[in-house]
Amino acid sequence: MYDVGRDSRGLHIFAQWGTWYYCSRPNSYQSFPQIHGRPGINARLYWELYDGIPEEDPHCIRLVEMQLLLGGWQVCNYSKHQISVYGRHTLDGPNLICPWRHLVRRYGSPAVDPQTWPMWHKTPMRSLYFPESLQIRCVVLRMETIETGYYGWQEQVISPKLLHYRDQAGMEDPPPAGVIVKTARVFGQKPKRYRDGRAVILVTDAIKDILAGRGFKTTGLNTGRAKTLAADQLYWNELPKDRREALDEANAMLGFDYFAWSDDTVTFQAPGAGPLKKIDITDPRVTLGLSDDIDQTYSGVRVQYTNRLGRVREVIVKRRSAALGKLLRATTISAPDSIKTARSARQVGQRWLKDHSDTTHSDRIVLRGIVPGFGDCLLARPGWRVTLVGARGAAKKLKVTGVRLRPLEWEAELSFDIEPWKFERWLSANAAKAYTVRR
Amino acid sequence: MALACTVTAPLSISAALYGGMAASRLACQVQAGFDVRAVLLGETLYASGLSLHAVFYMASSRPRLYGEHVTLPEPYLGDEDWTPLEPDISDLRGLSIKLAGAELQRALIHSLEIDLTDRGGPETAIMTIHHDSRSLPIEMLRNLTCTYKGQRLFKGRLEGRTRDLGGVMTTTLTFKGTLRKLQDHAAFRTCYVDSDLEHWRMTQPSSNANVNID
Repeated sequence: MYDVGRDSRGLHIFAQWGTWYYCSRPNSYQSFPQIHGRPGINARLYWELYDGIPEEDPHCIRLVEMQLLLGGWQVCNYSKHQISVYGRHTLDGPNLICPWRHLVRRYGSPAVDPQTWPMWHKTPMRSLYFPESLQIRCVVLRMETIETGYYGWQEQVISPKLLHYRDQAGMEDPPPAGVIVKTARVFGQKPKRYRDGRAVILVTDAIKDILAGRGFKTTGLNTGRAKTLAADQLYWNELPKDRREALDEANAMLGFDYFAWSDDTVTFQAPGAGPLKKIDITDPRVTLGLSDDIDQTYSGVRVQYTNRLGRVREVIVKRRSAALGKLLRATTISAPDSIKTARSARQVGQRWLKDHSDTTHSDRIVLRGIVPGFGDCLLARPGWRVTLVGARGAAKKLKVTGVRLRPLEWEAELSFDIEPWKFERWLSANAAKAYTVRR
Repeated sequence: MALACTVTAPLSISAALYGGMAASRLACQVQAGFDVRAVLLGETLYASGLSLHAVFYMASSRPRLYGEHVTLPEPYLGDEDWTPLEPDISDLRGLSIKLAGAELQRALIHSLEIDLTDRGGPETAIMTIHHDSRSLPIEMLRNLTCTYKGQRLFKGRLEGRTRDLGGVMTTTLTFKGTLRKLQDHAAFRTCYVDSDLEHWRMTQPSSNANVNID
């Protein structure tokens, strides 16, 4: 009667239609031969906040943006069905608001062959607002039967003798009639509008909200890429989650360092923006142990991905690594689910190799007292960058990733654990469907 | 007065080849002492009872490890072990360690380590104090503040206490930084935006059940 499923076109919901269709008549001047059978029953899709489990924090749905495909090759000119979007408190509760209602009808002339006519009509992106006062927690997209509609030249008459239903077509074929949900974005927080009219949730706003829940303010977030990075998938629905974990997940898209030096403010710092210091390794107050290895250095990678047909495919990507020279080191990685083509899989491989072409560091430097050029060792902070003086070729700016202070010994141990991180940042942004908005 | 003149072959060769051009690449460690022969670029320096020993390390090419990173020149340590310069702790001024707002005498502290990370800043502080912990009420231990020269090194709350009543009575206190507050409530759930169509539910009554759904 109806079927609800998903394929590469998106979510679709089918309606049951009668056995005769206006568009399939061989001669359009002929009279309508038969009234429709029973139009069928309603079908629905719904999205429930936190799967319907009550939440102690009063969250609600603020906005739903949808883009639908309406129609189908079995749809007649005068529809018996409509789609409606409702807002409710619970799935089985009453409809509190209906921000959108639309008839499902055939798009195109009935005189043309329905197989060659574009039968599916893509609606523009609809923004459906739900007032905060209603505290909507469930959105229902329903395909409804209009039992008293006017079809062709006759009033619809429901006859029990004409109860004839067609089995649903397979999912591989285009659905005969109904609605396909191409895009649906549900906003649980108030979004911002940008110049192109798009509603966006900035990653920095999410970070501010996570920290504000525990009384923290933020500084340093409005810099560089963070200013315009928005995400389409920021939803923590699982238990247990804490705000620290959510903060790390959101910040992984930025790669920022953050510090809570005071009680109520968290300072964010873009990677590579820390102050630059010098350490003379020949100074007797300095003890160091430098090590770099090629455990995570590669010059080739095999990328596995799943194509649009669901089949696993692989591409091999190579990239010259100055650290390895002619040595070939390769491994296998899996591309994220959004990668469907060989070209994009190769781009993933190039991105991965670019991040893994250099050696990794695991360095330790111990400073004692006041070191000339660096200052007091107890004031060392992670996020600083350090240039080693006196080591030819090692003048690279190393980022301090950790500091262990021993105040009673007037000693500080700096850690430089440099590992590939840009690919991980890209993976996080890809999982959140992050993009940069134009301001 | 004994006289001696020693010229090592690699040194003379290097000096002849590189000369002044390579002088900037020389790493030199000089150690002075009695009864040590002095050899400097093929010439021998003498003093009565005092001589100078100089060893030059000459780089024949730019050494590299995996392309970019360089092995550091090893300093000449002589026969003695290398002794790093220890700072004079008496010069350490401006350090303030407070437990629950009260200044803690430095003599009571056996050790203190503060870990700072680039993901959160002050993360953990582990302090061991010479004290019988049974005599310390928990209110006196609940938070630690450590400042130095007007800058805060650490502020956090007590997360763990370990008592060692062996030969020396000590108490080890573990403090966590202020961002620990983010983990106090372990049931954080929120929805900012959800574009995953998998989260739309499709449960419908069966087609035989001839009921109209809401």
